[in-house]
Amino acid sequence: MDIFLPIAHMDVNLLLILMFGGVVGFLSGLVGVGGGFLITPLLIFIGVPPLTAVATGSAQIVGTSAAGSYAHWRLGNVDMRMAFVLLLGSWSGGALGVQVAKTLEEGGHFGTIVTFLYVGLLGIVGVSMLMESMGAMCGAHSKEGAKASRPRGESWMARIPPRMNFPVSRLQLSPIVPLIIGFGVGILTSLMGVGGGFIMVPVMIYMLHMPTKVVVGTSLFQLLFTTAEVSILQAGVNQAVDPFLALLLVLGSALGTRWGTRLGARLPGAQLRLILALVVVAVAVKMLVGILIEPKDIYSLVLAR
Amino acid sequence: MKRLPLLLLAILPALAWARSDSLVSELTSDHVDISARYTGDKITLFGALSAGGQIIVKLRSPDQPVSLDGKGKVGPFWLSQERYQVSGAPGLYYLLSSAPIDKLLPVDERRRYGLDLIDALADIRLDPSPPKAEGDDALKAAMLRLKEAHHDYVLDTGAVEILGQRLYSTLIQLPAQLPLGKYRVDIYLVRNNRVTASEHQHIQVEQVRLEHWVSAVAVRYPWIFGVVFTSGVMLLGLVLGMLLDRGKKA
Repeated sequence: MDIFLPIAHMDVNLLLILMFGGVVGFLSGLVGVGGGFLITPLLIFIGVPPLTAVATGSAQIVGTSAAGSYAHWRLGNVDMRMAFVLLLGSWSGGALGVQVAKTLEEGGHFGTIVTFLYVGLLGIVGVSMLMESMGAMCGAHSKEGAKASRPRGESWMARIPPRMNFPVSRLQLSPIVPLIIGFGVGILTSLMGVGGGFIMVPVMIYMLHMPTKVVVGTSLFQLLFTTAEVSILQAGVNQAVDPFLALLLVLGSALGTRWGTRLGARLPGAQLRLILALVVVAVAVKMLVGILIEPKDIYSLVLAR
Repeated sequence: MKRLPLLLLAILPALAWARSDSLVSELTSDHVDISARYTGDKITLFGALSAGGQIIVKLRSPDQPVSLDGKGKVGPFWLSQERYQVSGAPGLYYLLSSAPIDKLLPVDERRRYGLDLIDALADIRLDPSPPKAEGDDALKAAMLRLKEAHHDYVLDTGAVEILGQRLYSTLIQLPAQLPLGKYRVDIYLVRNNRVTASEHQHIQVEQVRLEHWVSAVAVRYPWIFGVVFTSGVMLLGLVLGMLLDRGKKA
């Protein structure tokens, strides 16, 4: 069953895209991470132009994170003041990133940059997940790292002026820190089509020392509105958001996530994380191989928008 | 398709009146509607000729802007090095004939009617203009190679069938991905190394219904589309979440 994607300008198998959404949703339900960093490379593998893949990826995350954000907001798990400061940063980062994407695309370099960013990101994320899950499976799980970093982190960050109160997180912190973090995440969202939860969550826990309960809600909340901003800008500036592709991915991943969450509760966590880590590393290797082997034809044609 | 022989019978007497060479043609369909489920179309072109000869059919779609990316080796990596915006090149260019075209017509006659595939790229413009040393010949050759590999430019010298010296027919196979607009189909009758008669037809390719509307809005009003679509996806996510949540509790 083929469907024509009006913005990507190509035919895809409808079920294949639903399955992509489903598998990535399933994995994120199992392990509890967002799957944006898998969707974009998968789309690029089947021939979606990189910019459309990245832009549509961020639109898809809007759909998949909306329900979770709402639930956390109702439960009061969102530090609104922190989220607002983070958003100020990520919205600026997102706006800059979309312009950078436009410039790179016009020069024909966007695909290359995205490939490098993904090989790097997936390589780092995959290898660290591999090490963590293998460590956990061998029973060598320890929290030494977290304990050791705690006092060090507090000391230098607490010294940055001016100080601002974040009562929900029970923190006193300079707004410059979340502004910079948000800015980085916004850039990542616009150039890679990821939500950035995999960076935001560890940063909030280990560097900002926010209470874990607030971390998930706040990161999800800021991620929702960051991807929403980037999605609007990608559509407006680059005309790169494919509506059919995004809707199929949202549907697929909503179903997949639910299955994943159910099954994940019954399966051993370390093994699951090992599986995801292997998938992530495999995707990184495939992307790397793609630019290492000599292309059959050094020229290629791309439909102009 | 069943009416095809009948139509031809109706056409034949008309040709009998013609003194010089002439030909008539008809398409089984003169329009293609592209919906989200469109995966290609087949149109039969048929007709009659007044005297024995060979037939060449040329189909040219509207121009379709593309960009041509050139890769180069940087360290161990193969990366995009140059990008040219190409305009003035048709999206599709088909040359279908009843015999090898280069045997039917001399070079200058072929060039005059655009009957070599490279003629499709006669009027292309490259932006930025390529370096002088390289010229655009290498780029044109690369583009032709890619278009042929993609079956966008097709040369098939056995595609037109001639029946009993008076009737001809050929099947035009349109791919899943094609530019919109008015396609021109030229039919040439060739005798004694010369084009002695010609005819043309049009095929209108349009996007229909929802797809047309969606892509038109997304391209013409990108900001409105962005805001409306993003809010829509957010709402969809909320509703899906609630539905699945209710399913879980039940």
